[in-house]
Amino acid sequence: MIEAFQYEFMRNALLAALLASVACGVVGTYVVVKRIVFIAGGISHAAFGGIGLGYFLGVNPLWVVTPFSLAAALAIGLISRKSKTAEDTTIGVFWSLGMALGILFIGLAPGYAPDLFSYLFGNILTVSLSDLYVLLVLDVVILVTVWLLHRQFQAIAFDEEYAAASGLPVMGLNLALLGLIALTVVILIRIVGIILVIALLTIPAAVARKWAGSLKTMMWTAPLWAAFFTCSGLMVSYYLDIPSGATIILIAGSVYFINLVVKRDASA
Amino acid sequence: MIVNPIELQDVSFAYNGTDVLRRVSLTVRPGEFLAVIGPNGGGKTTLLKIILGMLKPSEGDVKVLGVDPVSARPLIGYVPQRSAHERDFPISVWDAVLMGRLGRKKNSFVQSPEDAVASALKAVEMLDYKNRQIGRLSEGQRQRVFVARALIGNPKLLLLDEPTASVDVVMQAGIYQLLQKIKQDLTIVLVTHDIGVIASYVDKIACLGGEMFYHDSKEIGHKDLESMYDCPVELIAHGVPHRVVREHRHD
Repeated sequence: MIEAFQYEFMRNALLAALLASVACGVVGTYVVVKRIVFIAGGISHAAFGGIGLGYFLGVNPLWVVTPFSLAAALAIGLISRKSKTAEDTTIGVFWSLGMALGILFIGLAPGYAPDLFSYLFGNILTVSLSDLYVLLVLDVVILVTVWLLHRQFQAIAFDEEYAAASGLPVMGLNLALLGLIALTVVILIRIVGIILVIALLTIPAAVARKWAGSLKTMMWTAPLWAAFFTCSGLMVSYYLDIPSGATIILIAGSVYFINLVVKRDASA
Repeated sequence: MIVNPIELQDVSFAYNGTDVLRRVSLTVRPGEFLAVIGPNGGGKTTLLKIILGMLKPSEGDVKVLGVDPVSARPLIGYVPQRSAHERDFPISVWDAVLMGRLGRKKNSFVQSPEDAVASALKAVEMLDYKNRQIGRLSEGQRQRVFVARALIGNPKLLLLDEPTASVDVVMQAGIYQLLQKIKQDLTIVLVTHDIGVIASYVDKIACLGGEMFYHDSKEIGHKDLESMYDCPVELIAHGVPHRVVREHRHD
């Protein structure tokens, strides 16, 4: 195993896996308990428009996808709450619109898009040092925001009506939470790709939930599960020479189903 | 000058063109324990949401603790109708109660968070359950926790929406006794569709069925109830006396 980390790309991959685990564990906790998995899916697919725009402008897609995903998250949040349209309809529109824009921009961009597959399905082995800096900054933004607003996020996840009656700015908090999801999506795109982001946003938190008596415990343990999935997936994919993103998700999915059948002690 | 905690004057509210409240006037005096009863769809929850400032009336004037409802929020404790949370939400009793301090002005707190949670839980006799996950409590215990959550902000006015909706008769009595115990100088407005058990615990009863049938005493006459429910009502007694709506047809 040590031999694998002689290579810089493997060391970068491991660091990326750990940075991504923090974000997806912490933010995924809110996604799971607030039941907004479908919104997270909408944001992640809308992000493909940002990838396409990056190619079209000839810059690192990771730089463009960040503001693009944030804008998509805010738009989904505002339209689904302010308009009379059903929330899932709005999400569905943004889901497909983002993908369509991405395809259009890539079609209009000069030349061939060699990394496209890695953005769709992830390739943790191609993470560069500059990507790691982006992931680190996004992680810090997420953790600071959660540290400042955890009790408020907990309140809107637990009972939004009560939070509103208490005078909390429920709309603003929801948009902030969607913003955090957008940032996490950006981080996870490099690890598992747009198509598979939703799995890492939900599975670690869902596994952690079964054993956690509080949101804080869930937030500590979900990143550990995520780190286990991403690191073990990375190693298995390296030694078997198979796609890393898909391997990570298959391991996570297997643990999810095993966890379903394991019984929790009723007295715990 | 004594400020009445609640002053509603000719308040009307319509939802999607349907009248829910029609020219409702209500005065609640300091320290009163008022029950608002009425049929489903009679506007009871809407009334509470107007008092909380979550809904704006289409007509009429609302003053809560002498100011507009939104400004009064930090001084209102609220126990919602069947909290929307999932049963297995990972949150402890302690954290759920602490939630009640959110949205309050920090300089209004006289106790540390720890002391405040402990005294609120003690008041509702749930301190022993402080570390229990909320989903592992019975319905009645959970309602006590939500009363503690409402009390932790030191409210002047406590609003409860159907706090005994899914609780058995014995637990209902326990919750009403608890409210009597914590009342002291608190004004309490409780909404319920239970028209029997509540009468022996409150100071006054108001009947709401779109319009307000307001009683300045605890007595509710049969005619009042029949007029509000628009159907025959009778008093029966097996265990706790209560009024029931007989099987009937609207012609």
